Amino acid sequence: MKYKYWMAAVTGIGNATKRKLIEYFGGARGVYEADIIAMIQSGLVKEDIAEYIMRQKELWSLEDEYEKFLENEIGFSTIEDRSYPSLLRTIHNAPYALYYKGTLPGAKETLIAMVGARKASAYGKTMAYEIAKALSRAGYGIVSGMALGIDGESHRGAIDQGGRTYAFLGCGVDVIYPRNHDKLYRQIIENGAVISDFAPHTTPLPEYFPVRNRLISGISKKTLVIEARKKSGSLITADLAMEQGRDVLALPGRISDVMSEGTNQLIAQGAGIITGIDAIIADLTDLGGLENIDAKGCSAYQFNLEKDELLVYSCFDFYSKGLEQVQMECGMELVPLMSIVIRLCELGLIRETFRNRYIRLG
Amino acid sequence: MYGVVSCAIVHGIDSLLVRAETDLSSGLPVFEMVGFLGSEVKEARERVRTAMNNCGYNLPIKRITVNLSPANIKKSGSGFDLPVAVSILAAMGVITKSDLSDVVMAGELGLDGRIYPINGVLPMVLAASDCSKKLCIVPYENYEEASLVPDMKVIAVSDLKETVEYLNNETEPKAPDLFESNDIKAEEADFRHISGQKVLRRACEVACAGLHNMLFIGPPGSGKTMAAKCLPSILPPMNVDEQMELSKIYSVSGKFEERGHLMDRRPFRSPHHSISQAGLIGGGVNVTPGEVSLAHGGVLFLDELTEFRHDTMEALRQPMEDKRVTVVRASGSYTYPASFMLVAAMNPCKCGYFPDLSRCTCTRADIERYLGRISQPMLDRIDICVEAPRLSFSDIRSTTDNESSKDIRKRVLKALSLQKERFAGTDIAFNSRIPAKDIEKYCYLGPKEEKHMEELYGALSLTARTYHKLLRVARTIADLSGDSRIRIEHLNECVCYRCIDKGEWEKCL
Repeated sequence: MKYKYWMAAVTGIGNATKRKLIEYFGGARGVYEADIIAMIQSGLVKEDIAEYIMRQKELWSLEDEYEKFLENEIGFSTIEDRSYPSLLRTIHNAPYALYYKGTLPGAKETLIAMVGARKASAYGKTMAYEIAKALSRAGYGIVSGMALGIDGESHRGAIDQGGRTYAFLGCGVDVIYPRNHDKLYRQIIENGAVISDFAPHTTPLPEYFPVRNRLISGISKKTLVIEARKKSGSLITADLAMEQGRDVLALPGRISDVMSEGTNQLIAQGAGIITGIDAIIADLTDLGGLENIDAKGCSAYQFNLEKDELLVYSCFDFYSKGLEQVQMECGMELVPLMSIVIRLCELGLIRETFRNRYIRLG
Repeated sequence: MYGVVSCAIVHGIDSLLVRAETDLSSGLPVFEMVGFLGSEVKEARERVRTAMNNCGYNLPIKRITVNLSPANIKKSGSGFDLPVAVSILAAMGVITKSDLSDVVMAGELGLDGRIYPINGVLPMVLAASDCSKKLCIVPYENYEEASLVPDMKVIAVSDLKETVEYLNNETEPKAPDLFESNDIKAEEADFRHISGQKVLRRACEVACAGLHNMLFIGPPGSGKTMAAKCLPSILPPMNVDEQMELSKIYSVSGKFEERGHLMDRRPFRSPHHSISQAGLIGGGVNVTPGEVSLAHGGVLFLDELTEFRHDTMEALRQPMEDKRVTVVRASGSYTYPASFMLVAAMNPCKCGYFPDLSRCTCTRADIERYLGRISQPMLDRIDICVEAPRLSFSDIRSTTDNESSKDIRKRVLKALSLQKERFAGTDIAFNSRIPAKDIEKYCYLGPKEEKHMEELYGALSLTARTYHKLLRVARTIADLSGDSRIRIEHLNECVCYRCIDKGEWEKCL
């Protein structure tokens, strides 16, 4: 393992070269023990790079460094190991090593990536949560990036359902970013893993995030884009997913909604369209819906609402609406309206997203 | 040879009578003043000497000692010139009226003997009245406010000679005409001019009916400031005690202008957000009341709440709790009443458009930082919080059937009369001032309502912190509808106005 750890820490060569070197020398140990002449003779690295690798070997204390690493209680899996996710192996530029906290997905686990904007609308967040929940219930693992907004909601959906969820980070796995996701971070470790190809202690930098996006799509069978602006990281992930030959599905939105511009654009370009959760699942299993999951969650009709309450309820939308607007649409007096709104909140049919703004949940 | 006369110093918004005594004795000719004097009082010596000379009263070639007693209180203000001059004249025998002990006077002297107006005349005359003095002599320009004190003879004088004349011969100088108070009140903002914004209007009504603190959140141009400016038009009238207290504050800070009556409108103060802590709370070299005191009994409107300096905003917490401020300086401690209704307006984020994601350009961290400028303890003190949404075109266009302030005020007054009845015999004035220990007594919930509240707690993740605030607001809403009991619909409505708990707030992002 210590040789592999050294191999993972080597800089100056890319993941593809590392793989070739390992094939040539028969493992990380072989690479470590090879001398400079053998290295140059392999024809895989140029002279200066070979010298550079030798220098790193001299500066690296094999035992000490590995022991120090073990103290962190961070899992470590290389492309040579069986625990390495098989689907990830197939992508171009697959990382040589993965650091993780928690447990890596099992060989039989099917993963679905869910990505989207950090600053998402209430609709996007609700949908992300519900879709993740339903997919979890159907036995799929949810992969995302632990960012704010859609990513966080997707993880939460899976966790609340008791399913598995995996987060790829743009920093070391022992760095919690964003800070206010520390609780989510711990929950993900309990219900799956946080994974990164960056060495521990790496601090997040903007350029790291697109790099990890290829892993999110790479490890997953399908990539769902929930909400994305026109130029956004989520679209990068979608592009990468397509390059990797994975299916991309996008959640459609209203054309006037900036948060759905990106996803609508994906659909126009030929990405799959999320019409309902059971449709995704049917697609995955080729068996038709395993169980009919109601994307709409709870139904208004199970509560025997009064006529007024139904009227008010029908004025709410999946996009947040102010009390003012609802009042104009339903034409009721303000005071009784507020009473009904609070009752609907209480029943869990609508939710307050901001001061006096509500979205419907069912 | 000895002369004595009464004058007064202002301390806080109250006044204390001080004796100005003069002794003329043989010795080297000096003019000395003692009695713990501030620098402006020390300067009185030069003004008095010159003014007396210029009025034809030559100072005797004697040792002149002036004492302002009690000597343990710091004397400040420019009102001592006249009493010092008169006490010297009495000691000189120029003023023949032997008993000046019933006379209280105040005024600043010019070098030519003219008398200039001073601040704080109203509390001085009140203090004189409390000490059963018979006569007050005040500068001509201060006659207005001095004459508001009942049962007190007030003489307005405009120069030193006139004063001497009056004291010797009882020839009353002509009193200035009292300012004709015309009841036509200046055109003020009216709720009739606010289109749409039904939630905002209703929240304003509830807030005024119980004097609850209020926060508006909304994008720029949604009418937050305008709504706040309409508040005075629906506020209840002040009683005489309140009027007197407010007038004293304005008199002390030199803001009591010609009006011919006490301050009878509840004040509306809207300081700019660059205000300093001393400006808001009170302070300065010569301690003067701050905006919180000037808004006493009325509305303190803080527009762009997040732009206020953090320490300035936090300094508000204590007066909001205690309903008065105590400013402690080296020269002493001063207490001013500061029972105001806080109304604040803010944008939801830096660019102002959140949660409209198509226009808002802020990142989540930006929004958190922006909202983070308001501390939780501050939010805890706000009872009502409403969104002022962006107006649609049809809202702006519709000018019809907006309820006018007059109609709203009627309901507010009805609610207040119920409160007056309820709190008779206690020192509680409004629902918002119900102390926590009396909540159970005044905001009683029936078993059905209690159960409903419990359900709301679970469903909306309310915190215990908000519980009392909710009940106070619910009480006001019940008062507005004339109900003696708080009912479910009142609870539901007040929950709509609840102030977001910080944690809850951030979850919305």
